[in-house]
Amino acid sequence: MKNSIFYLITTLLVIVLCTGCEEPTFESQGILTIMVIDITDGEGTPVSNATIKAYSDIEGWDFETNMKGQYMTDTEGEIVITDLTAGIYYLDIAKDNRNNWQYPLVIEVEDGDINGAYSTIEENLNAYISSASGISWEIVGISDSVGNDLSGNPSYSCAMGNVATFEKTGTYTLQDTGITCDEASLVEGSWWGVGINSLMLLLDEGTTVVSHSVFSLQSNSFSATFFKNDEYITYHYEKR
Amino acid sequence: MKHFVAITIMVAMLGSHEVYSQFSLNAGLSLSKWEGDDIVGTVKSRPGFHLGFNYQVVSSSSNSVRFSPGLRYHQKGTRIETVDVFEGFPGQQIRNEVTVSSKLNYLEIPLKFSFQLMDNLFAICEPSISILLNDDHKFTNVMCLDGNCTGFSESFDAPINDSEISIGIGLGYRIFSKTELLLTYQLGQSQLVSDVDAKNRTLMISTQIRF
Repeated sequence: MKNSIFYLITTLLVIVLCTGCEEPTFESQGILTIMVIDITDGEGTPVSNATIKAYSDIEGWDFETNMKGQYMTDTEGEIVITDLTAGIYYLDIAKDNRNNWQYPLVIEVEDGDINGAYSTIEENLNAYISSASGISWEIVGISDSVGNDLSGNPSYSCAMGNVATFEKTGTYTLQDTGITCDEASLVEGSWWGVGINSLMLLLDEGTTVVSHSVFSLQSNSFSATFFKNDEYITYHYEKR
Repeated sequence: MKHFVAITIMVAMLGSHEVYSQFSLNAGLSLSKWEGDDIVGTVKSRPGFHLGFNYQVVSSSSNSVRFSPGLRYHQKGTRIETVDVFEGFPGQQIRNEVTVSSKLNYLEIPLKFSFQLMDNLFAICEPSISILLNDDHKFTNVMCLDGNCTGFSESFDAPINDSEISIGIGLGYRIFSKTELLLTYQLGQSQLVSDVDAKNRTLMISTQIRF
C-alpha cells in the first residue's frame, strides 16, 4: 500500500509540474523600435550612436523637459525600446549637427504590440543655431551684396551688436543692445530653417516674412543675406 | 440502485455465479488536443489531469474480463499555435506567435472493460459519456524582437457542445498487487462545436489503486 501511495503522489506531482508549463511569457508593455537614417547625403545611411530622447508632449519636446527616456542607436542605427508605457511620444533624435528638429517624429506606443518607425535626420540649420533654451548670436558684421563692409555706415551700423536668439520651439528674438536705431529695441517673432541654407523669419505677428540665405555655417558663426530697402544685406553672426 | 444494476449487468455478461466488488481510485495526467480538418495551425497538447473512481465487479470464475463503471473529473483542451516571422527593419526579425488555448472540464462516466492479456497486463476499452462542466478559452498574441516579448491575452467564448461521447483504448499493467498503471488513448466521437470538424484526442497516464 505504501508503494501505491508513493506512485499516486508521484503522479500528482507530475501533473502539477506539467499543467503549468508551456505558457508563453511576455510583458504587456509595448515595444518601440526606431531606425535612424541620415539623409544629408541623399543616400540614407543608418546612424549609429544617435541619441533619442522621448517626450510625452510637444511642450516637453520643445523645451526638453519631462523626458521619458533617453536611448542610443546601435551599430546598425537601430534601437529597441521596451520601457515606454502606452501613449504618444515626440522623439528628439540627434547626432552632432544632424537632427530631426525640422521634421519631429511623433509615434504611438501600444501595449502588446511592436511599433516601429524610421526616423530621418540631416544636417540642418536648426542643429547649428538653436537649442531648447535658445542660442544667442551677436551681429558682428554687416556687408552688402558684393562684400563691402557696411558696419560703419550710419544707415546700417545700428544693427551692430544686436543679439538674435533662436529657440528650438521656433521662437525668435532680436535684442537691441544699446545702439540707437529706428527699429524697436526688442523684436519678437518666429523662425524656421529649411535645410542648411535657408532661414525664414516671421515678424510683426506673422504678417512679415523675411527670407534669409544662410552661408558660411559653422558651429560658432554664420552669415545670412536678406533683402532690405531694395538691396541685399548680409549680417554676420557669432555665437555669444 | 445503480450498483445493483451494474452488478446485474456484470453477472449476466460474465455468466458467473459468484461475484465480488471493488472500488478503485485513479488519477493521472491527461495530454489532450483537438484534431480535425477545420483546425488551422499547429495543434499542441494541453496538459491537464483526471481524477475519479471506479466500481468494479469481478467474477471469481471468469476473471479475464472486468467491467468497471465510474465517475471522473477530466480536464481536456488544446493549444493551437501559429507562428509568423517577418522582417521589421532590414535584417531585423520579428516573431509573432498566436496561441489559442482552450480548457474543457468534463464530468465523465467511463464504462471500462478490461481484458486480461497476461499475468499483469491487460487491455482496456472504455466508452465514456462526458458532460461539460465549464470551458475557458484564451487568445494570446506574443511578438518578440531581440529577445524582448510583448503581447496580450484575451478570453473569449466558444460554443462548445455540452456533452461528448468518446472511446478509450489502452493498456494497463499491475505494478503492485493493488496498484495499476494505465495508458489510455481517448478518441472523442462528438464534434466539439456544431458544424466544425474538431474532436478531442486525449492521452491519459493514470495510476489506479484498488481497495
